[in-house]
Amino acid sequence: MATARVTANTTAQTLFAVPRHAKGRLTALVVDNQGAAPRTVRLQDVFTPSPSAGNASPTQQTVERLQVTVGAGLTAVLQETELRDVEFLGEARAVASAVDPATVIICAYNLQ
Amino acid sequence: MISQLSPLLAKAAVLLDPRDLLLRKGAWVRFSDGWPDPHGWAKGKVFVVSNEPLVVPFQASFILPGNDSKDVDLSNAAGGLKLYPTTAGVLYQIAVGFKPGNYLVHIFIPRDRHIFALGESTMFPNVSDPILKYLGAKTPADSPFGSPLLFFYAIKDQPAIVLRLVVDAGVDFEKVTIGFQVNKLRLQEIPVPTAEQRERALLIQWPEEMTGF
Repeated sequence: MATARVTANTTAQTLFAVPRHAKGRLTALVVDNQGAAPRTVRLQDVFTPSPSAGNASPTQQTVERLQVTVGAGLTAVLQETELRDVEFLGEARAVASAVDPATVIICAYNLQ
Repeated sequence: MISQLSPLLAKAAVLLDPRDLLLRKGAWVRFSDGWPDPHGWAKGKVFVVSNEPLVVPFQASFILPGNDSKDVDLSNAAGGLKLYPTTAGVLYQIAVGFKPGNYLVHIFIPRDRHIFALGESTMFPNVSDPILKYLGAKTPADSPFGSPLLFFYAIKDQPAIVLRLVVDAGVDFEKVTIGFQVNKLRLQEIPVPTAEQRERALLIQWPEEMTGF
């Protein structure tokens, strides 16, 4: 198991990159919002599909896998049972509703 | 010198004789009479494997959208994965396993000939048909990544083995990961095989012999 930590930012912050022959699965997600306002955090999966019968020239995709809104001074904790069907195929990124170093996003994950 | 057994044996050995899964030195192989003349060195002949398994692992992954498909050619053709031998007298036994996911795998040899069809004229795999796309389709459970149960056999210049990966509807995207264990085998012809050798040898048929009934 590995972990990644970023702080809230409106620019996508990379949590982890999934290797070519694996999928990434979250085993825990913590959003600790010690800032002065509620924050919304979205987890994105960024990848470029392979050429297929339906699309010979695919372009980069950004798929939203999860969204959490946390009130000021609160902490949201999602455990593995709530996250077990959330898969990442490419790069996992976190985007927040505001830039705030007081809002910390930590995830635990494994690569299968 | 390298001698290696496939990792798949660690799981399979409890229930199966490993020799049933991976050809080893001393194993007998017979090519049917159906092989055409360009493969004359093999056609109708019986061989003995002359080397211990030399297993080359390889992986390939593809991210595909739901309700879409992709053909993966295992041959040495342009755009293929190039898993075929390049000299006569060599056989590659290719074990194929699939990581879990929401997808199906159809098998074609060559690209326009489906192997797993039924006799009735309309019962052939068709990825654009909501019912027939499940006909003859393998799933990851049929050959798990860590203990593959699906084997292909390839000699130089034989028709392309094509895996048509089909991501089922209902998922946005799926990553299809295929694990290959290529067992490289040198073959030594048995000029006058005994009846037992012919009977017990692993029979490798020309693709057309596996269809049409």
